[in-house]
Amino acid sequence: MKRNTGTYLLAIAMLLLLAGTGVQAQSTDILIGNPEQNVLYADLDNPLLAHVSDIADNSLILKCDEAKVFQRKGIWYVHPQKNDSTDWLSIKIFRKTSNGQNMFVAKKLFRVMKDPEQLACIVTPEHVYRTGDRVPVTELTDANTRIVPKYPDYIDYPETDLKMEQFTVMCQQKLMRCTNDTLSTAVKAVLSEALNQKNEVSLIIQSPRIGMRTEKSMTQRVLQSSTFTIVNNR
Amino acid sequence: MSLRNLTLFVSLVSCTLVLGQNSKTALLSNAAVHVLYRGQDNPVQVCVTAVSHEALSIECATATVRKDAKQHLWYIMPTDSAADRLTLKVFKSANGQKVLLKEQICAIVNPPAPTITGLRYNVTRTTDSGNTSTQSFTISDMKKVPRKALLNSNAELMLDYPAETMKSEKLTIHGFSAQIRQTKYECVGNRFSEDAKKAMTQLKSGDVVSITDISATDEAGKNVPAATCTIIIR
Repeated sequence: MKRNTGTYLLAIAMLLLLAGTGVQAQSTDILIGNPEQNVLYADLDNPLLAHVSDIADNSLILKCDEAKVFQRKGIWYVHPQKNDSTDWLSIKIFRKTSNGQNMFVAKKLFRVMKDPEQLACIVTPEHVYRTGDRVPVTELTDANTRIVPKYPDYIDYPETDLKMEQFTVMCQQKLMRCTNDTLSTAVKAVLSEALNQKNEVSLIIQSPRIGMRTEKSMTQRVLQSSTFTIVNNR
Repeated sequence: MSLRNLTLFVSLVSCTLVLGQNSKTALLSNAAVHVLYRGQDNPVQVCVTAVSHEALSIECATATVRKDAKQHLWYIMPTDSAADRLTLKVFKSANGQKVLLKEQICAIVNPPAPTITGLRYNVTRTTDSGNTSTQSFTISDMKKVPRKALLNSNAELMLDYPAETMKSEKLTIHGFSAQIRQTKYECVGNRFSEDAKKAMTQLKSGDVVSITDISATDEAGKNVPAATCTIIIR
């Protein structure tokens, strides 16, 4: 009993410690947006941030004739389809009135663009390295390191529907094919040998082919190359 | 019409229109894209589930931050003119303590200025059976434009903001100058004049057509200063 109480106290102390230092709410609960911009991406759930002065946010209703608008966990989303003929859409803001009717308040025109370009990144247990970054070799060769397609760092769409299928690594003038999202043993061997003689080597991830799951299908796409400098930190 | 109704009516015209005192402002933004303009006071909306706007604050080491409590907005002015990223820190105040909720990376790009973003043209083909079909083409890389596309009888220049600024608007070109080998040709609307087309028949791969003096208006009929553009023949 004493041991159980101690465990509970330790768990509570750990929780309090995490609460004091870490991020309090999930990132999906915190929305940041610039109302001067008006671009949405096709085939993605675009989170919307609406505010009208003197009207409570939970009294607002958003509607759109050209795309699906829905609410999830209190957040409004619009999901435009990839369709060249509807590259503009208008989102209307209504106010819920006490008699159950919706009163039109404002509208805003958005441009629908094709989804933002992804790039192959090196995701280690500690960091996300993007093209142009310097990567310590011990992190690169960690068993849990993955080569992952990611949107630019200032774009916050979920990346769970993106999957790396294959890529080619160019290192020390050798081309090596890798499948799935891991570096092959051949790449690691070439790196290890090169770093015995140099402090850093260049590594290029060429022609990464990714799969993208959309509402209707799985599409494939070949991304642009990403270049990294691998640093000997052994 | 009461003042309240009047302000509501005017707010229908634009989502971000502010009308003096007692005004109603409607703000709507895509909360997945975080782009700020260099050298400008950027409006930023922040919403955190179950946290009042009064309890929220933003800090940034490389920007000046100003809160407009009435409009539920912050204004962020990047201070490092060479930087292409900054990090906003969102805090909430609770029991006299400040708790970090989120760190958001934002891209810093040059302020939006419309430019020529593409060339659109149609090609009509007649099949063996005598039927005609028209296909539309758009060239978005102005550094590789086939001469044939420029000479197309219905080739039209497209004007918009650069994609990275996350801003778009339906703009109308009323006229422009096309400089071809030292000679300027005045063109009406968004199409090349016959004289300009005649001059372009002499152009070779790598030759340049400069589009200057673009006269354009936005949907409200307001003049929009547009950046000059260089077209390179493929």
